[in-house]
Amino acid sequence: MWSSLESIVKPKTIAEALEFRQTAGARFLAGGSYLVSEQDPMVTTLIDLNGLLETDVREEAAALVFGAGLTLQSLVEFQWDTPGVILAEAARYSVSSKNIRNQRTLGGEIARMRTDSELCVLFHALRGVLHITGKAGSIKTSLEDWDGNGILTHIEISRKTLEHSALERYALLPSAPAFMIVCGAKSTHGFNFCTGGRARNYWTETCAEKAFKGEAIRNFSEAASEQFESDRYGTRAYKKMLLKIAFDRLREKL
Amino acid sequence: MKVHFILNGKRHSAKTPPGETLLEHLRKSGFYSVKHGCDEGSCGACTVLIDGRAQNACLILVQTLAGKTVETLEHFNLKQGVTPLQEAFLKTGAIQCGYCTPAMLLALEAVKRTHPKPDIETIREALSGVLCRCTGYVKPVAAAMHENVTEGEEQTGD
Amino acid sequence: MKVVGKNTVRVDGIALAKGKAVFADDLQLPDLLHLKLLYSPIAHGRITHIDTTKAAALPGVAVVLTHRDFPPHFYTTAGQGYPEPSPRDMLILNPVMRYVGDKVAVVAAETPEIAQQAADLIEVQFEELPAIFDPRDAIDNPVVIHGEISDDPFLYDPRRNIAARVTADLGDVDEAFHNSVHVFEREYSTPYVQHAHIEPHITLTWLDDHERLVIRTATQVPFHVRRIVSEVLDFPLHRIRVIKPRIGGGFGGKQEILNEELCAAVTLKTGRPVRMEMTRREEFFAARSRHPEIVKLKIGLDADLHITAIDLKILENCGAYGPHALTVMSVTAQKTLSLYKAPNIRLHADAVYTNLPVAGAYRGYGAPQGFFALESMLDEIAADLGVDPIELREKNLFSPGDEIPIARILGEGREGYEMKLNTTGMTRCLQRGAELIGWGERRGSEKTAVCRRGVGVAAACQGSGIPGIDMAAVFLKMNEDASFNLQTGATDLGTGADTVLAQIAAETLGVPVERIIVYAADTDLTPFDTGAYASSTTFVSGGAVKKAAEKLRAKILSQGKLLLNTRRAEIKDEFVVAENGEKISFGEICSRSLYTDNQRQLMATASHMSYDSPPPFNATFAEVTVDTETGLVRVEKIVSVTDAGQVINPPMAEGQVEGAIPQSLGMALSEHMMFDKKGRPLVTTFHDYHIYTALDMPEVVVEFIHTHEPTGPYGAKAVAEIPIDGPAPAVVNAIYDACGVRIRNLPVTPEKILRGLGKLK
Repeated sequence: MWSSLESIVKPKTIAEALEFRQTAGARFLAGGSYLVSEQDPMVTTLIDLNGLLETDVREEAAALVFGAGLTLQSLVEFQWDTPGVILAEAARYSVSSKNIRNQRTLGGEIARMRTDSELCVLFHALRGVLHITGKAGSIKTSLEDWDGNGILTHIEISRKTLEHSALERYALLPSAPAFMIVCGAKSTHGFNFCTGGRARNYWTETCAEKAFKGEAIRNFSEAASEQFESDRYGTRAYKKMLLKIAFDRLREKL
Repeated sequence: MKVHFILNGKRHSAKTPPGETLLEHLRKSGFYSVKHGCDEGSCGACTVLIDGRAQNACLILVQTLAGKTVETLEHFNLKQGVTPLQEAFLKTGAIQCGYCTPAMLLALEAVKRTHPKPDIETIREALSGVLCRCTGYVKPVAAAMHENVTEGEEQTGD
Repeated sequence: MKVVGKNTVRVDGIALAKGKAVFADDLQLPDLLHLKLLYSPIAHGRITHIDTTKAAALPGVAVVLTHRDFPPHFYTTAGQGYPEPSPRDMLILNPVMRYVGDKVAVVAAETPEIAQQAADLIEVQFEELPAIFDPRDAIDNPVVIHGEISDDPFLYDPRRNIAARVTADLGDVDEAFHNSVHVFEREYSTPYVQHAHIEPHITLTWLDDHERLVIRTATQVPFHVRRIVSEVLDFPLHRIRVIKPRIGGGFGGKQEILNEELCAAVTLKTGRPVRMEMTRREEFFAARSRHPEIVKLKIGLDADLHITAIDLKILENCGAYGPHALTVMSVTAQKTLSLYKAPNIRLHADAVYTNLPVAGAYRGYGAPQGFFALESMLDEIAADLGVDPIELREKNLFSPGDEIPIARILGEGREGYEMKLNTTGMTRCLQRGAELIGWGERRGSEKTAVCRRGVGVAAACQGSGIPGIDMAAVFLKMNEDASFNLQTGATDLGTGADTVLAQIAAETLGVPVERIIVYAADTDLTPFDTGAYASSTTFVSGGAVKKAAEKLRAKILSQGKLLLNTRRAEIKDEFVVAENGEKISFGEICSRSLYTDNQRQLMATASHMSYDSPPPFNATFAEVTVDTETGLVRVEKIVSVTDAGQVINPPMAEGQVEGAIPQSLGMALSEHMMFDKKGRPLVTTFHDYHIYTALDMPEVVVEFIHTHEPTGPYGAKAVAEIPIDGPAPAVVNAIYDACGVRIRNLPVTPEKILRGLGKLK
């Protein structure tokens, strides 16, 4: 029983949902798997976004646009042409329980910005574009730049970047949350990287394709390792070493 | 607030406080096949089917269910005797303490609707959200595979 | 045999398959109160001030209890036979906090949420005391964790933080080492891990119409619950009834009186039904766990590689209190010293207090810790001397007819009983396992790739019940259709014990198993049984069933003779058949006995206690892949071959093995209970505590080697615990085979592998 909860409202439009958000103690409810397990006592109102957000994958000329209402499991089950398989993989790894993937939405997962979410790390590397609807209308922004306000309605990625992307993850068991995730993607600007896992924050970097070797990789490992602490998964020295391995492996894959 | 949804094939009206989870509601209503194990979505003992898909009842607020379809193991149970999948579980020894059994059965029933003869990977995937500490999943997976064979035989008129 | 050794569907199977309301919490009691606890946020300290006024004033709160509400009565929560060989070092509620998770106060309220809210409103101040977190620092530390108890015979030396000590001596170890050709000395350690049964601890209590206290609880030890609750609440035992419904897994975690006394206290105080269900988080810090142990082994060998002496030192961390402290490390020693012949033995084991969560009984009960050390060590010796690890083991195994001397020296908190090995399938387990894993081909394969494969082996033995202590009784009565009610205090906690007992009864009585109606366990309605622990049910309770069934069979025969008016007759296919061919069916014998002729209820009772505890044996083989760049280990395959004597129910016995494997793999690789510098738990969810899911399981191959144990029912030995001993050491040995890195301190972490490879300094 989530005792602090006083009401769950079901807005008919996004505008109405944004209106409700002004209430103190109000939170958006997407899939709900995070929120309901935490039962934050400060929350008094939930704004149920289910049914309000699109649940399809739109293929545009150079881009793929995902509705924020897609469940993670629908990403797994989507009939991908080969390059999209990495999205299915990332969705599966983001939470190994199919039960939860049936509930958790892409929008909720991105909004939560967990560093141990493979999807979030991958979308960072893919330089995903977020479509946010706020009081002032719709804007497009990057994952790094989104301040968390407004409603995430779509996520857009470049098809071409997706075609040249790769994921490395390290976990004690296949089903366990990864303590380190490293994603990379090749775009027109060069290589984009993002690291995550049990980390303080994401670490993202871009570098020219040719420059991505030896010295640069060592420097990146050094820089990214600042996000990791010594914990039960290993010391920072180990994490740093592992980052280098991950970058090397990504280089191979890309 | 009163919320209406379909529970095990019947119209169900629930007058629940907004903070009540489906797990709490179902157990209070006597659907004891839905078990409590962690309250945070990690163990899957409270698996139910929402619109045909396996989800954790502890992570769902009853008031968000308006218009949806909810199924528990009670919906699949025969008045007397057991379903083919239950039979397969019994025969292979897939049930030990039985606490996670309803969850496993539901997760597999959900998969069968789209994959009548799931392969071993699909079965493992279906069970990925249900923790079991007794069986090592060996016999539950075997039971689901075994049931494939039995069903296949029936289809060929054997 | 018609029933024993055959696949019988569980007697409780249909109810479980249909999710019927058969577990402790599957009922609704009117006027129910819910309990919540306030736990200590500090690892060590004294309550200097506690004010429950605000909590008690919260609407919906029925009662708030603190240490002031209970007379100080020391007891142990260890659900063991009386007198429990564990220190009596606990109070229901304490004025002194000894770990993060110790109980400060109890609140009973109309809903769990109100109870929690009230618990949070209790004002409490502590005088914080320095704490001990490393068991190596415990002995003679100026910090004394249990200073106030002095007169408990099972508490060794609380002033020195030693909860228990066990020593043993056989022969002359020093002399033997002196004369040995090879002497090895190593130290190993195992961590805190948890049972993680999916059903949390759940207890319901209420007063029945006769104002007797009913306790419906998820327990492995209903009779110990009754006794200990009676004792600690000073409430007459005859006014307590403990009901054990179906249990959602226990693995030793429910061999503990964990919440029953609290619920009972509140029911007695309020007259109302009470429910307490632990949250998963509470399970992780406030329930029990496996005792971490540091095991030091010194082994001497002669020129022929026969073991000449074993010197075993155990430092067991029992946490803040000592339930099972003495007996778990006794089992570590007793089991590890029962596998290989060593003419000279020396043992020194200390259980020490620390300010960490309380350890308890967990499947294997000390043996997994011991075999991790011993079987790693055998592997190290084999590698060092360049011999095959299987050969080294086979050379040193006990043989049938051998006396196992340690059994006599070390019993359950006292001297043990002489033990002669009747049967051992150990060599065959090793040989069959080697075949199944492909030992010859796979071992020592190429070592150049980034991902390297390796195979490893571990052997182990366990026991079948506690000799001279575990006792079971059953009651068996006959019905008109030749069905039988079997009433037993044995506690099926999901293992299938009820079914196994029904099979033994059916086999003995010569009827189909469907005609055995099992009822267990209920302290009002079933005879006494010490409970489900120490792998005792098949062997001890099964022994009682067989005796009772034999008695009843004899009664049926004599009643049949009487009804047939003959002196010579025999039982055949549910008939008593006279020499002249005349016969009378079981059903008719019973009907006429009940209603018309020589009237009586055909029934029998029997008790069984055994001075034997024949060891089941197991060989576990692991195949692993080690990524030598990341240090990550994946278990590819486990082969587990067990000698459990005559297996009563093959699929169930396999199930015991299949379920034990991931528990042990978890201890090796993924299940870490960790604490911060102030003793606060860092891992309190399944998100962080990685138990195996369906996605993680390696290929598992399970087989049994048949032996016939003369002291067991139909030749049976135990199977519940033995398979949990081998996987962890087998994995560690396989890692060594794969990449040459020896991990002596569990858990294996990727970093330890890389450091072992010299890739990380």
